[in-house]
Amino acid sequence: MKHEALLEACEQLQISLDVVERYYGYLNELIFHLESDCELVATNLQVPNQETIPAAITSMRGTIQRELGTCLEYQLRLKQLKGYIISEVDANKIEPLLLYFSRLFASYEDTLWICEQSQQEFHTERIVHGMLPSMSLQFLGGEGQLMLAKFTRTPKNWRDLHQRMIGHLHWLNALLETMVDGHPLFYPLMLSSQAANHCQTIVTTQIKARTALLRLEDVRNQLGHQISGRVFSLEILQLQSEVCPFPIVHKEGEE
Amino acid sequence: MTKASYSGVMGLLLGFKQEHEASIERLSNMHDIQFEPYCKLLIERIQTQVLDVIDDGIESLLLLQSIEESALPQETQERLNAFIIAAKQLSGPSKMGVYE
Repeated sequence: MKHEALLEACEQLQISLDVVERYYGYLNELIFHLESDCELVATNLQVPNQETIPAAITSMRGTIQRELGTCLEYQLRLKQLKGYIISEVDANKIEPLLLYFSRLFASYEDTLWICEQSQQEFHTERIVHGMLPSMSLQFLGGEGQLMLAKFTRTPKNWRDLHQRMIGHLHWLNALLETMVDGHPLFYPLMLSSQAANHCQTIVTTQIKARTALLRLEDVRNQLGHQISGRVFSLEILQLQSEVCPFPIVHKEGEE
Repeated sequence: MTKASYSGVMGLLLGFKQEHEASIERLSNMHDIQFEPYCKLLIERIQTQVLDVIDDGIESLLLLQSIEESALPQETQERLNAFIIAAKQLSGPSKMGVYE
């Protein structure tokens, strides 16, 4: 009976770990799109503090990789534990593995309880390496997954990229809100959000510079001789130097 | 600055411009040979150090009046505002500096 209960708990944990693994996959995909968009900005436009953008995303990617590694290790050990339980080996072999999983079992129980609550609950959340907080799981399983669809098309102009950056900022900030302080992903997420914000400001400036150039031309036609002076020519030159054509992006496999 | 305050500042700058143009006219009409070199120097100073700055300010104001600020990049707004501030500062006691 005890073995059956243990096997049942292992099965539940297995399902939970599979979900976490899949959601880390979604997060990786989101990061991939964020990275390619930020790279597009950083390599084509003059970006102050350019080095902070890839650094923030690399840190995020590294943390996900480490956490996913831990999650995969849990899965491996869980298989080992299940094998021991089924083959009814010596309890001395099972006990250390049960101890190894004690925090994980507790975290699983906590997650179940938190998900049942009507309001957001952070106090019961247990920070366990390799796992995601329950609210983050809910976000990545729902809206986060839907967000991925927004990034499937290749951006064709700065306006497209601007919309994508707004999307990135949305998922980054929404995910950050679900994170518990102290979770390994908290600071990399915060840095990535800052990097995305930085990129969005640059893209906005690019769009505004183009609009301003067109508007200045209109104003010249409207006001004629009144604005033929130094300031106007300087601004036109300045804006022309800031405007950069949108780079042609080739997707893998495209000609 | 709001759109409403633009017209106020514009009136102010046009007023300064008129004042300085009048000063130039007065200085140009001084035919005393003794003062002629000084008058020429003053006229040159007013033209380069005052009128050019006021013209830049007026032009910046015209641009800001014609284009909604939200359509301009932050740096452009800052540059245009800097021209206006420089022109407005000439209205204070320092404007007399060029006559010293």
